[in-house]
Amino acid sequence: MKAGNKIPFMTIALILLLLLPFIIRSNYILHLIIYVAIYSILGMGFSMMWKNRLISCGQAGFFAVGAYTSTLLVTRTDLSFWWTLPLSGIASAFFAFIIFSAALRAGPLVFFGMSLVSSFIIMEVLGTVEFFGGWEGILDIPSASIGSFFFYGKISNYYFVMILLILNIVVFYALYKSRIGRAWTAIGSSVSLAEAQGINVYRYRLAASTIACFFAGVVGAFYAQYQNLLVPNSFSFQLSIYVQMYALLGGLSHFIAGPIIGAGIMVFLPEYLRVANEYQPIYFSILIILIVIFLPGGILSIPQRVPWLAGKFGKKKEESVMVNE
Amino acid sequence: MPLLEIRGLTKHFGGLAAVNNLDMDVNKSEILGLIGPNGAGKTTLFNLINGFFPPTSGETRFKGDVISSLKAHEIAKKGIGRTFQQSVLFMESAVLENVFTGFHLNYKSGLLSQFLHTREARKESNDIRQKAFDILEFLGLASLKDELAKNLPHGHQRVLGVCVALACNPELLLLDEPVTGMNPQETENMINIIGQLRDRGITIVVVEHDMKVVMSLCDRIVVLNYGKIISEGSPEDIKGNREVIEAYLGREGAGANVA
Ligand SMILES: Nc1ncnc2c1ncn2[C@@H]1O[C@H](COP(=O)(O)OP(=O)(O)OP(=O)(O)O)[C@@H](O)[C@H]1O
Ligand SMILES: [Mg+2]
Repeated sequence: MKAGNKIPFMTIALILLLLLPFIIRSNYILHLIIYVAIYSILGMGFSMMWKNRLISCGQAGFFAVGAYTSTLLVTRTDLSFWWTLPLSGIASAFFAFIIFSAALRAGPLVFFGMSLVSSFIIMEVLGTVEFFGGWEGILDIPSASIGSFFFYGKISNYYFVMILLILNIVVFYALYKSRIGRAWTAIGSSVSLAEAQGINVYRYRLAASTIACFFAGVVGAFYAQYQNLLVPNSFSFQLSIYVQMYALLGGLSHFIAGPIIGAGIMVFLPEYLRVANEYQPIYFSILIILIVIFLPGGILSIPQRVPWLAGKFGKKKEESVMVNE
Repeated sequence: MPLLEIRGLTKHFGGLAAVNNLDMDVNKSEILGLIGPNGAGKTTLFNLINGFFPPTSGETRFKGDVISSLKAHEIAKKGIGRTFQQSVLFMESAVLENVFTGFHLNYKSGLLSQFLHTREARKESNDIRQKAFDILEFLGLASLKDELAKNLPHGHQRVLGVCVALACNPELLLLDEPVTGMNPQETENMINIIGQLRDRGITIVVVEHDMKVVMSLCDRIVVLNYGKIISEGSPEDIKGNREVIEAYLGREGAGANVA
């Protein structure tokens, strides 16, 4: 898409987002949309690391760090939620920085392992250490408020999370368009060539992981005040894997749109297919296996596949010309 | 003072000494040929010079500074560029984008202004894009600037590799088998390019199996076998050297071209 086409498109999308709660008028669907937004932010973080060919299995853990930081600060000190929102991001980013600055020295494989392990450890610590509320979790977390207005309902939280999502998209987009993003692309394309061109691969990878986890932490704080309760088990390894699935389903080479589309499909499809909760993991697994086999580029690669589809239906000649080239 | 000084450089892979106590100088503005049979350690030597591997022992100095303790990205910053034996490119990116990305080190504007896309940052980006285009034009790839790197024919990919390496403004350029797999016309073109680069003041070390190319291009030749220098001299000296001929004949018949 050309920049010129983008602006009207963006305006329409924004207006639509703004009006959506009044079009939909279903609290349940709004609730699902809020979840799509949360998952999208987590998924975009995963994608930012994936852009550097790092696979994180720990986004749930960093999400949890944000959620608990905000909650503990709000409930144990009299800090306003609005201060804890950035602080949650910073806490999560700091955590990521410490863990990954060590792990990345040893390479992407150790990064993979450490992200997995840290996610487990975070959940264990939150569950077993009494200070963090134990396995029963923390109840009665106050909703965010501005003056006497509380973010209780779905509509206010919908707008809240949309602001976070848009902020996240804008920041990521600006990063991807800058030379930082170009360095990330270079690393994802060939680590040796990137190094040979003077790119400090270690530092750029660390930056990507830290930024990604910052946003996971911020949305964690949102989640805590939205749910009004936190249970360690909701930050399990399963969530980290789902986050990866969103990115994969949408398309791994679409670093912003991919996770959003993926999360949207994975949240809404089971609703419409009426898949029972306990069968969801099976349904997701089958979906992912099908995607990996038949659409390795994800849902967003379908448009590029259209010529191929056309070739299947009677345009055999063009296809053979392409093969000969 | 030589541009690059290599002293006692050694690299062990397990029990194998791929580069073995090597002493070598590269002088400013020369084209130095590095030849030797397969597995002689030529690529390993490049990987040591540009910092991909830390040496087991020994030292390299560039313009008098020790660089053997530096990382690859720091060595690139010092002014050493390289190409790869296999075509290593940003395959999914367009030709111009490849060179543009290669210019990573040339930015002056800070990360914040880059991130905010300030006017200076955009201007700088545009200037650098222009420079990238100039390189493509200089090496004759300008008309292909929007092609994806992976779709280029082999010969053009090799040239693009040189373009990308030039983007970090190297004073010393290491070329690993630049004409391998090229047809005679492409080879001719590459030889011209290398000559022109030298005329622009870039010092070049070139690893190459094609003896005709080496003989016609290089000012000086170093012959490597089992990680050691077995001979060194002008193309004429090397042509008549028995040891060199044997080293080649011992491994592959094609080496007979040497004589
Ligand atoms: N990363 C590595 N790990 C282990 N052994 C290696 C590594 N790189 C090179 N070697 C070994 O070191 C020796 C020298 O290899 P090198 O690639 O430097 O040879 P070369 O002179 O470039 O050969 P060619 O002409 O085939 O490219 C070989 O025996 C090779 O198997
Ligand atoms: Mg080699």
